[in-house]
Amino acid sequence: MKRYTPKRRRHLAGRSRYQLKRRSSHYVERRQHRLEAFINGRQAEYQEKERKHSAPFVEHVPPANFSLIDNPHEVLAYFNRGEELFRKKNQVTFDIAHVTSFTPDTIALMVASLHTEEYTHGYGYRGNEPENTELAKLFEISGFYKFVRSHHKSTDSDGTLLHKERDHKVNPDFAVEASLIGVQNSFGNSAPFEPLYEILIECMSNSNNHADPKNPGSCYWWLFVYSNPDTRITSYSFVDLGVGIFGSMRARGILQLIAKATGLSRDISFADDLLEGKLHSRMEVDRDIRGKGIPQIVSTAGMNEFKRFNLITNDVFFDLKTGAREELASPMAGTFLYWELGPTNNAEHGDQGDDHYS
Amino acid sequence: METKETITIAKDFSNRLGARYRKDGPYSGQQFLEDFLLPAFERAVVGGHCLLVDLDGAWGYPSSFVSGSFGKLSLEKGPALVEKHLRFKSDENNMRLERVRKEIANPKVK
Repeated sequence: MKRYTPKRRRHLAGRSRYQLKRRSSHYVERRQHRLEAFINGRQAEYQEKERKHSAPFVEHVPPANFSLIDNPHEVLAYFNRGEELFRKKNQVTFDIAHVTSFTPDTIALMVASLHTEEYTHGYGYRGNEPENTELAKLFEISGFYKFVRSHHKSTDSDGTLLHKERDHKVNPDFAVEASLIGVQNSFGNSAPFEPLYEILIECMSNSNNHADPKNPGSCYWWLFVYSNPDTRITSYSFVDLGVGIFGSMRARGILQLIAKATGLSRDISFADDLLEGKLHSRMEVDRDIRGKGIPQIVSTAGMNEFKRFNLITNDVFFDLKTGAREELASPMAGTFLYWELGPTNNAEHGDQGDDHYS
Repeated sequence: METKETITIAKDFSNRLGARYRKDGPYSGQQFLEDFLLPAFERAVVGGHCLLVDLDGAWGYPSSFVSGSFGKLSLEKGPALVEKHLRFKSDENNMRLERVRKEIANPKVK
């Protein structure tokens, strides 16, 4: 008869106990229950997918002036209504054929929204191009078609860049790439333009850290760079569909209730504090030394090289060139920065720009 | 005080500076502080000499990078000690010098 070592005997005894346990009625019942739950879950998931796939399509027509920066009230209302249609279990047809104005900033918001599960709620969408050939061309070269399923082929253009950050990170190489498009088109050289690079990094950093305070680093950001060789204006649209700057700073719990009751919860009442870096997000780490990014952006916005500079966050629209701000009836779900870089009379753009830091 | 060591940020670290923390992505202020600035600064304090930091050649100095490196160093070691042992150089842009010095003198947000 074969003799087992004590270690082997212990192993066999353990195996035997385990096999007995697996044959017990309680264990069999639980295993059966788990299997059923798995099958039901898969079925429910499949049924939900089928239901969303066969949901009716609703036509959604934008305002003729489909420019977020020039017509923020109507365009944001349009996007918010789109989200509502998805939420009410519809698929949506974005019929933009008859728009008379269509700008790069709107393309950036459109692609970011359609790529966000919280916006589409998993429902499908379709759409068309503007009938105006110039606007259709802008749509084609934007790179929009690279991010949606379409029979249209995206046309590549050296002066255009549409980027979705997939690693949720601050990406210095990409900031250089985006900067180069701007300086080459607007200044005709490839020299670093520090304020532009710094803004790009600050935008990425803010989105990375504050767009989703519960899970920092989990929110995607998008950047669309479009350069117009005729005007030599390069436009930058940076968007994240997180909680927005005011949203990341709002008090919670009892403080929020008090703020609402006293009327202090309106975002626009904190506009100055935001621009001066006096508002802080709910992040606790290094609180003492944080909060310089937005003042740096505001300071830079005043430079002559920046022809326009707008910030939209939650329900406030800022013109950072003039300091003007406006309350929006339809809020922006997240943060949107738009600026235009253009040539100045000075050949040495860097020298003039530095004055604005002082 | 004699200058015995130099860090040229663009050459020794990167000319594409990132944001505040390592978790934010590459070439962060925290990475520069922990891997370059702090060890060299401590050597300068122990050796009683100065450390020269050359700021030229970079694409820019984002405020989160400046705050996460020079600001954090000043917060931890005190502005006086940092000012005593650090020297800066930038032939390209005087405002960089001013910004970094300002950050060291007053790292906290007002």
